[in-house]
Amino acid sequence: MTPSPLWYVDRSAGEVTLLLMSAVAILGVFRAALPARSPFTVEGLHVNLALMTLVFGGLHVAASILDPYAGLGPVDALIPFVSAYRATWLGLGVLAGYMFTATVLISWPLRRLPRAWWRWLHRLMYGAWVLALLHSLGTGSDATGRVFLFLNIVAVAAVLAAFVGLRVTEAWASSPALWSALTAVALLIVFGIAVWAADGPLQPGWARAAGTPPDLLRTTP
Amino acid sequence: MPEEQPPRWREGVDAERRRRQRPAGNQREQLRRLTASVAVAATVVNAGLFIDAAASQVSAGDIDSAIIAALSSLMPGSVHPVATPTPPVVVTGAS
Repeated sequence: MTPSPLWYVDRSAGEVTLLLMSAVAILGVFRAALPARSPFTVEGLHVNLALMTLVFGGLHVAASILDPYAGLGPVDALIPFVSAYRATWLGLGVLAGYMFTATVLISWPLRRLPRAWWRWLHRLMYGAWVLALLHSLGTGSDATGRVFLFLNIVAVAAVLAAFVGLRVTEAWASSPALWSALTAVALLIVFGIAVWAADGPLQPGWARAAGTPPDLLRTTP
Repeated sequence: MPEEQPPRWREGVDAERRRRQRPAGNQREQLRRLTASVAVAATVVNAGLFIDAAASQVSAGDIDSAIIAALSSLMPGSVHPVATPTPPVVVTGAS
């Protein structure tokens, strides 16, 4: 069976969703670190790009369901870890989608939630971004593609640079121990993902190890 | 007569009012332009990645066939199918 155009829409929209999520995260970090710098523009762009992420994420999910190649259905897109196609890595994408959507929705009634609650719930975004990155590398048929790999590296480097260069630098004086621990955690997560990717998705034979159904293995990179 | 201090609740209200002040028109315009630019960029990147992903898995012959099929559907009879090499016919004796 040969892939349909929807299969490529699925993959390209997925990558764009990850890039937009990264931009949303960077704008959120900027807003938190420098609240007085163009607050209307930065916050407005943060919100608009979050909504745009949902649009491209929706396209990614819709294309994956409509495309006959991987044989995914609505159940695979809604319930994590039940798919016959790369269940673990697809499931992480489903979880990332739920977490990101929840982060957007809880910002809607922001004024009704206590500020401290909202702030902690809003930090789900970091978790959603990490899961989306793992999903992109683990499920993505393009993990070894030069363009996709380059874009993923740029996205990760930009988010990490924004977090360490803006947020940590700005808040360091308030609690050096806390922020050095958070920096160490962020660096460890990125280093861990890089090591895992080098040993897994970037190696030949990942499609089989990731759980691709045997009938698709002949046509899947 | 000593100046009266504003009540404490007033500080919070004033701060909230300042925060929600209507932004100037140029800020709205800037946000609109930035959002539109990102939307266009995202669509272009999406199209580029679509082509990149498809090109990596589709052979040149498949692209030729797709172009010919598209042309044939638009202008029936205008395009002849690509001649595919056929095995030589072996003649085994007279009939």
